[in-house]
Amino acid sequence: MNTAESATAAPDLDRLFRESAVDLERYFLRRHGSSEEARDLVQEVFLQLAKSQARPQGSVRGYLFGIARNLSAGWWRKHFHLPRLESIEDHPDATADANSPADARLEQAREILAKLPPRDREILEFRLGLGLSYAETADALGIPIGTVRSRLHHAIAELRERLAKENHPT
Amino acid sequence: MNQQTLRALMLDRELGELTPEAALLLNAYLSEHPEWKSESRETTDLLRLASESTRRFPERGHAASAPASSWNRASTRLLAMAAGVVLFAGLAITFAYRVGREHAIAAERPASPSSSPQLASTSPQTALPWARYQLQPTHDGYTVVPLLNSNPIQKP
Repeated sequence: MNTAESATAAPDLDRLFRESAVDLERYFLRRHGSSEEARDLVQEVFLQLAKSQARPQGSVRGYLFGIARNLSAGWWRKHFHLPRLESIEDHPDATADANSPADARLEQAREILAKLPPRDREILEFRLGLGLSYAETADALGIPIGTVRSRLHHAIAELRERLAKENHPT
Repeated sequence: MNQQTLRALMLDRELGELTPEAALLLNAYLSEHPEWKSESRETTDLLRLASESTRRFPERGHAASAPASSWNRASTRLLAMAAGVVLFAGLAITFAYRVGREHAIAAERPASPSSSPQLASTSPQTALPWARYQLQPTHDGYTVVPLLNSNPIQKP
């Protein structure tokens, strides 16, 4: 690598880290439950990005989440035998009042969304849970933007229909 | 504009995925058609519910069936081991049964002529002249016993 390349590549990596490390950590935290593991995996994402010779075709952020997704899958394949005992309450996002009146509806929504195919749930996770755009979600999952959009619309339509059925069974 | 298209556009607008021009056009359309107002509110509400549910209930593990495939591999290994144990046990039982049965049959079978010590030498060597006789020890010497007829020839 010549000096000019390293001079331009290093700030990019720094900027990317500043922009995306928190979201990546949040992603790993949601998937793995442990902050320490999440931080290690974020480091691993940037290490892989630095090592990688290929330049991302679409959004860099989507590419980063694509690496994160593969790392997470690899981690689970390797550690699947280990029991995960941390509960949902350990998660910083899971701090809402469990007895609030809206909880019954939220629980209904959770049950409906949990029955969606794994790919659709991943799309929801990236787009709604982590706030990635359609394009970034598509890059992270390696699927066309149109698919992200249509699957998300399908998931919301399913939620609308099932909630209507359960709340007004006639 | 049909309901499905309108819902899709409203959803994209809520997610900030519409271009500013498209968002302006949609807003203008909705202001001209107030009958869609409730639909717009419902879309916003559904999206909020889905987002809240997704954020609040993270999915541990990997959604793209990584644990499932690991589970499949583990269960396949277990099934293969169980099948191996069952097969081995089956073969062992069959073998034991056959051995036991043969022993029982052998115990029930009467003694065969071939087990007699006198006729032990009835061999296929009948083509040779001396093979038609055999010596049997008696109290005063030997008796030549023909193998083809039963008349003994006394030898002095």
